Amino acid sequence: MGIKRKKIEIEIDERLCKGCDICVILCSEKVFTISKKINSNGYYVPIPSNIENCNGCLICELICPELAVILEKTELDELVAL
Amino acid sequence: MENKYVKYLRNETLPTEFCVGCGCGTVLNLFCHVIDEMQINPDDIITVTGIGCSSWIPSPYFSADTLHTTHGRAIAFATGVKVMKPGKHVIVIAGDGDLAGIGGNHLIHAARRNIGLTVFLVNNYIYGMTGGQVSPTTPSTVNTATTPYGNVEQPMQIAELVAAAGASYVARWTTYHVFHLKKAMKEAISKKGFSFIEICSQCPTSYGKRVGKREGIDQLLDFKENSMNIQNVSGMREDELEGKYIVGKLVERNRLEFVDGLLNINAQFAEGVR
Repeated sequence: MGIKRKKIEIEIDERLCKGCDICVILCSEKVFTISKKINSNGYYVPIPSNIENCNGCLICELICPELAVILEKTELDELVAL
Repeated sequence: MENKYVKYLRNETLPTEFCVGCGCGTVLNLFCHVIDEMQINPDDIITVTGIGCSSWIPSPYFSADTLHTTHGRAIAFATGVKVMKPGKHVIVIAGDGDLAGIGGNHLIHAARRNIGLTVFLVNNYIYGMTGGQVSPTTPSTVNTATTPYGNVEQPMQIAELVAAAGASYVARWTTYHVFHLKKAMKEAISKKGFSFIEICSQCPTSYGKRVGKREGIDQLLDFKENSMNIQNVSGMREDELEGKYIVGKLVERNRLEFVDGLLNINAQFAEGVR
């Protein structure tokens, strides 16, 4: 018995992000870091630098006021032992 | 890669005009998730809104049939829409100044009639768009643009008021409680009768700067630390609850819905004529 391992991909839409850093601070696993790169609107867009820590709780996607966080979960075939 | 929920928005209006860290965007985001998960066709939704920052959630951002009405009259317009189109989801999203302040009377009587509207009241505790005037929900400790030397009025507890007026479903959540709020929005949309959710939201520009929380995240952390579930507050004194956000489901009950009652009467008279 086991559950399927999930692969998680996170991307931030640079067109929409306004750099409010809510995702950076509220993420319990510290997945995001504040970047030094600005987007075309002049905001500092965070980078999902520690994706391997992500537990897929979805708070970043749900709380983002600009719908800029895109989190995709895909189920892999390999099983994780319980 | 683009967010799959962007298809529910009017793409030419993006990125949104909301201030950095505003809670209205979170409500918009959750509303898109709810519509997607409930598999409601946006053509079956009619959104009605008034004037204010949170009234921008349906108009212009959410792409459905929209009525952007005069200040405070969103529920009055929505009542007409619901009576003429009982099969559609009529959803009102507006702010505390709009629904509780200027349109307070419409809100109470729509709840009393138990008409099948879904109302999301985004409560940012101030008139944010016009520069921070005192609203009926502003706490009495906060100085605003119109009460610079202190606010002597006591805030109104809107969710309790609507529950007492007779709504079918009443809940209060904050923009920090995204999972609870999403579940409550689903329950409110599927509930027959008047369903109401007060969403406590952050306003960094007009409210946050007056209480020393200049970023959206500061107010979100305040919601996180000072929220109490309604099941745990019974028996607590009023001074203990000062500055706390009491969240949870206040009321869920089954009462006769207004349009159903109206159609019943119409049917009786139609038979009598024959």
